[in-house]
Amino acid sequence: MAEAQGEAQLRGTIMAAATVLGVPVHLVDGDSWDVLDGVVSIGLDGITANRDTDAAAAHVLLLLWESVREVRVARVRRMRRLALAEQAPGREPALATIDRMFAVSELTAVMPHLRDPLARVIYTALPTNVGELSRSLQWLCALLATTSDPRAARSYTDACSPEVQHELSRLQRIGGATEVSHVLRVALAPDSARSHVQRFERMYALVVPPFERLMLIDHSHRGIELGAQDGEALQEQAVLSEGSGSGAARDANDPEPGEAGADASNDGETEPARAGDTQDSPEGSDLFVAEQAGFVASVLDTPLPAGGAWSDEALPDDLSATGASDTDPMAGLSETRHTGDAVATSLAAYRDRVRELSPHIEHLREVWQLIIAERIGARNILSRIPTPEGEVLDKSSLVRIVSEVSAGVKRPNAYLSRQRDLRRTRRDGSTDYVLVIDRSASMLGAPAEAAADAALIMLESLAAVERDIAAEERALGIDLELALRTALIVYDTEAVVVKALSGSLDDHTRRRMHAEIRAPRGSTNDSVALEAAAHELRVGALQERPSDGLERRRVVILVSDGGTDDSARAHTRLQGLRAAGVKVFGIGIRTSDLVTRFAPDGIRLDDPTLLPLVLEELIRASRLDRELSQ
Amino acid sequence: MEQKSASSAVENVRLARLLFGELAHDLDRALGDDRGVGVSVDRALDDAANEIREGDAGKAAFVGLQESEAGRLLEAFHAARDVASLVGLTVPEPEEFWLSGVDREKLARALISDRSLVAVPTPHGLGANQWTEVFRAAARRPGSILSLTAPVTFAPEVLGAFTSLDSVPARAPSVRGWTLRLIPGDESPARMGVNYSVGPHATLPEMLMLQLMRLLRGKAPVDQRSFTWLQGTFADGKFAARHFYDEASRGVGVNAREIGNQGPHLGVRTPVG
Repeated sequence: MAEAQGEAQLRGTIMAAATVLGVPVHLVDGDSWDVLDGVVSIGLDGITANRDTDAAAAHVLLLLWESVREVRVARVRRMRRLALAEQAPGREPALATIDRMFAVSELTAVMPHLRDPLARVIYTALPTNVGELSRSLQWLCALLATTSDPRAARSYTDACSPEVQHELSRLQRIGGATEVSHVLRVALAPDSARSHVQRFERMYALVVPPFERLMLIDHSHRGIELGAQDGEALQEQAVLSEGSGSGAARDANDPEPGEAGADASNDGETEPARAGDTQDSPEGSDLFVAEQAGFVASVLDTPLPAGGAWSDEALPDDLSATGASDTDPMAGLSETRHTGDAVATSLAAYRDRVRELSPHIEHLREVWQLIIAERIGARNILSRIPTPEGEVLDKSSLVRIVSEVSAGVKRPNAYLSRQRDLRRTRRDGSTDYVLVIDRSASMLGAPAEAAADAALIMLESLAAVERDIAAEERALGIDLELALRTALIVYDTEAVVVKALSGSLDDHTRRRMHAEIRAPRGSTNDSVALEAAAHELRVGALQERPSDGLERRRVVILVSDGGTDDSARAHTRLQGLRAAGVKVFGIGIRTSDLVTRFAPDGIRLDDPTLLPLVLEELIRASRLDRELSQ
Repeated sequence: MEQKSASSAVENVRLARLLFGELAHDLDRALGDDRGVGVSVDRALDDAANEIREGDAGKAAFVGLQESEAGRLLEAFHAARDVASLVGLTVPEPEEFWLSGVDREKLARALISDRSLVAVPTPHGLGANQWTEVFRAAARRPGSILSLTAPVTFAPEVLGAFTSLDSVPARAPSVRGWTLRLIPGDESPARMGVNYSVGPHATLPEMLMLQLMRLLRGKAPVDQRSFTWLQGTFADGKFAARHFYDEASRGVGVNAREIGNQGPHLGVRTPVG
C-alpha cells in the first residue's frame, strides 16, 4: 500500500515538474527512455530502484533537463558539445561531466527544493573509493561532488591524489577566489549577459585543460603512448565494457569497472593502486580506457545520450549523426544506445557503398559535365576600358585621345583589347527526375539491394552535378539557368516519399533511403506510386508553372519486379503523366510485365545487379536526347 | 538551534541569489570590492574561454569542413568578434547561423573555389550613428590608419536612405539581424566598369564590416583605387550607393551615383550565401 502510494506520488511529482519544464512526458514500465513526436517516454524501473521518492523524481528531472530540455533550449550549446566530442573522443568523460554540472546547477536554480535530493543522486553515483580512480577521473568526480554539495565535497576531495589537489587549488585561486565552489558557481550560474555557448566555453576552459593535463600524468605513469589511437582505443573499449556498468544509476556499493585491475598492480608509490596502473603494459592501456568508458556509463549514465537518435529532429543531421556515432567512445554501452548506433552504422554503411559505387556516380556526372560545357558559349567582344595598348583604336574617345596627345601624354588610353565573353547558349536542360522503387515483399534480397544501389547512384550523382553547376556558375559569373532535381518514392501498399523533389541531398535522406528500400513488405500498388510521382511533379490538379520560371524536362523511372494491385488505375495514372509531357520508364526485374504496361518505354532486366548500369544508361540516353535501344 | 537558523539564513540568501541571478549580479557590482571577487572570477573565466576559442576548440563549430576552409571561417569570426567588441556587440555563434539556414557546405565549396572570398558576419540595422561609433572606436586603436576625426563619411543622400541600405538583404538568413555571407575581399572588385544592374551587390554594412575586419587585423583597406556598388537603390530607383576608401582623408566613404554609371573604377563584389 505504502509502496503504491509512493509510486503514485513519484508519478505525480514527475508529471507536475515536467509540465513546469515544458517537456511532455509519458511514464511507462521498463527502464528504457525514448522521444517520439516530442513526447518523452520514461521507463521508471531503473530510476526507482534503491531510491526514495524525492531522489527518484530529482533523478528523472535531472536527466530530462540534461537531455531533452538542453536540446530544445540550448541547441547551439549541444551542437558545440557534440562537435568537440567528435573532434577529440577522449574528452567525452569531461564533456559529459560538464553536461551534468550544468544540469545540476540550472535545475537547482529553477527548483531549489531539489538541491538535497539532487546531491543524493550525484553522491550515490560517485564511486566511494575515489582515490583508486585514475587522476583525470578523480578530477571529474571532485568537480561533480563540489557542484552538488560543496561542504560534503571537502572530505571527498581529500581522498584525491596530490596532482588532483593541485589542480583544485589552481581552480580555487582563479580571479582571486578562495573556494572551488565559488568559481564553479560563477561559471555555472544562469547569466543573462552570456549566451549558453559562452557559459559552456567558460566551463570547458575550467574543466578540460586540467583533465587533459591529468590524463597526461595518468598516461606517463602507465607508459601509454599518446596519439591519435587514444580516441580509437576509447571507442573500442567502450564496446568492450558493455555490461560492465550500464543501466540506471548504480548503487554506490556496486563494484566499479576497473576495480579488478586495481588489485593487480601498484607502481611502487604509497598511494593506492589505480586501475590499469602497470608500466608499459598493453593491459594497462586497456584497463585505463575501460575505466574511462565505465565512468561515463556508471557515474554519468543517461538513457538519452548527447548525440542519440532521439535528438535527430532537434539537431542538424550531420552533427546529430556524427556526435553519437563511430566517434562516440561510449557507443554500445547500454541497450538504450543501440538505436543511435544503428542510425550511425547505416550512415557509415551508406558511405562505404558510395565509395564502392563511385565509378558509376562519376560516369553519370561526366555526362552532365558535357551538358554544362555545351551550355557555355563564348563570343569575341572589345574591352570597355581603353588602355595604352590594344588591338583596336577606341573611336568613341578620339576627341579625348587627340587632346591628350596634344597635351603631351605619350601613351594615351586609346586602344581597346579583344576579349572573350562567356555566356549561356540555351535555356533547356533543366530536368526533374523521380525514381519510384517497388519495395513489396517479393523484392526481398538481390532486387532490393540493386534498387538501393541504383537509387544511391542516381541521387548522389545528380546532387554532385547540381554542385558542379553551382561551382561553374560561380567561376564564370553567369547564371546557367540549369537545375537538376531528384525525388525518391518507395512503395508497397502505400507510397512513401523518401526524398521530395529538390536539388540537394542530406544525411537524413541518405539514412532513410538506405533503410526504406531495404525494408520490403506489403503488396504492389504502383498506381499510388505514380500518383505520388505526379504530385511531386505537380501534374494534374496541381499543375502550374514551376515557381523558378525554368522550363524543365520531367522523367519518372519506376523499378519493380512486376504485378500490380490495380492495373486499370495504374494505366490511367501512367497516361495522365505522359499526357502532361512526363517521360515514364518502367524497369521490370525478371518480368516482362512492365515491358507491356509501360510500352514503349518498358524494359526487362533479368540480372538485378545490372540495374545501376541500366539506370545510368537510361539517364545518359534521356539526357542526350537519344532513345534507349533495348 | 542558533546554528540551524544561521544555516537557514545562508540558504535563504543563496536561494534568493539563484532565483534572482540578474539582480544578484547587479548587487555584486554595486557592492564593489568585497563582492568584486565575483567580477574578477568572471573576467578570469572570460579570458580562459577566449584562450580556448583561439585554439583547436574554436574550430569545433566548423567540424566536418576542410582544414583550410574551417581556418578561414574561424579567422573571419575572430576578426568579426574583434570589431563587435569595439561597441559591445556580440557576434552570433556559427551554429546559430547554420540553424538559421545558412548553408555551410555551400560556403565551404565557394571558399574552395575562390580564394578571394571572405566570410563576413555582419550586423544589419545598426544605423549610421552606431557605425560611426564603431569606426571611431577602431580609429582609436593603436596603429590604426583611420582618421580620428572622420573615419567614416556618409553622403547626405546615403544618410537619407540609410534605413533601407542598412537592412537585411532579401532571402538572406539572419540571426538577430546578423547575416553571414561571403564577400570578395580583393583590394578592388573583380568586375569593374559595370553599372548597378550587374548585381547582386554586397550590402553597406557588409562592406563596412569587411573593411573593419581587415583594418583591425592590420591589413590594407579595400577600395583604395576603386568603388564598390552597394545593394539597394533610392531616389525612385535612380541612385545607388558606392563604397570607397579615401587615402587622403584616411577614411571610408559612402556616396551615391546614378545606377547607369559604369565608370572604369566602379565594380561589383557579388556576395555568396
